[in-house]
Amino acid sequence: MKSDQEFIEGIYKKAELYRAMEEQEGQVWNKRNRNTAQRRRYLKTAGLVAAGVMLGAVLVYTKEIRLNQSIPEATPDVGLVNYRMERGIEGQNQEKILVLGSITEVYEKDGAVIIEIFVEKSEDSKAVGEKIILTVPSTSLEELKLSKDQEIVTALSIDPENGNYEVENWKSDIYLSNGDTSEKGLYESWSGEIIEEIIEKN
Amino acid sequence: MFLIIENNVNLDWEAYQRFLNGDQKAFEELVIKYKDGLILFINRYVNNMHTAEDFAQDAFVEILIHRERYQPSVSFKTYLYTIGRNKAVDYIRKNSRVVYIEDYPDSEQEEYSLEEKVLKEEDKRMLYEEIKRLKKEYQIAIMLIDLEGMSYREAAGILKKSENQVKILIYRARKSLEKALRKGEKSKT
Repeated sequence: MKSDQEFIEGIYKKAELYRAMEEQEGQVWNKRNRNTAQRRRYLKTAGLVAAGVMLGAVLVYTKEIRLNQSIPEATPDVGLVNYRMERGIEGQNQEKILVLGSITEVYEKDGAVIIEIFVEKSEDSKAVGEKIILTVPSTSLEELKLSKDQEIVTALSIDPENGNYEVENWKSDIYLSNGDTSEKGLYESWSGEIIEEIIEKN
Repeated sequence: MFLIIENNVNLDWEAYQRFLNGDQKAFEELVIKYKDGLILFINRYVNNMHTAEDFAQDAFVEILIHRERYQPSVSFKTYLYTIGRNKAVDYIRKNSRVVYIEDYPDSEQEEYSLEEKVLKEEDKRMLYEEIKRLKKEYQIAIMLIDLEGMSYREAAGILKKSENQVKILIYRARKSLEKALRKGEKSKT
């Protein structure tokens, strides 16, 4: 490891070298840049081609934006850019919102199970980075087999009256982690349906 | 805590203004203040202290040459770490076939002595050892937010992620660290 002084001297040396290289590149550029009519013609043609390509790209891009905008909330920002969830069974839970998170607390209260989830992803982007509390009526912890720190995916419907998330049927709407969810995870519900979490690497 | 950070930002900006006015010593003050932390930060990406030191130097070279580019809308530290990160990420992309199995022994030793310098308290140092065993992105998140004391916003700027993404990343990282620490405690007893 270099001392502070050596480190600083190294910076100055590198900076000098960098400037010298830039200067040299500039000289080469000037030399090359002696304009000739032929060169101008070439540049003009190249410019027109480039403009054409850019115009094409802009048109395609605009079209793509329009297409994306026409899909209502189909690809919401779910927190991580390279993340998406795919449902294993087509046509299932289409009206429900998938929420992925880890259980911070789970306990029984008045014949129901209360689950507190720290939301890491959700299809509607709501509550990401926050806690949500779900009530699962008429069941017990023993039956649900849930515990703190478990990764969980829930297919939630939204209560039209207060806008809160709710679990309609825990057997089909609660999916538990099956493997390492930090890389690629499978989540399975009690009724045997499987959904997959896919994280695309950068 | 907030006031201390704010003061630090102001002091850095004052030093940077002196540097802009031609005071080379002011630049060197900033180099000495941030170089060790920056090397450790880059090392989390490249896993080699010599390479990390080289990139840290390059980051300062960039600041020296393009001094007018820095705007105080972000702290100098955030700006510097962003340049450092970009250099490390470029290097990893270009050398994606290189797989580091272990650091060279001298590199490890150097890292340890630099840790001693940067992380003065024993507890922090022990924690750092545990952090090094986590996934790379977790290491970096914890390093920036918990060890360097950066805000979610600052870390998000450096890591090119949204604040929400950083929140989730640090949540998962801390959880992972907690698990590792618990496991370590169990194996001791």
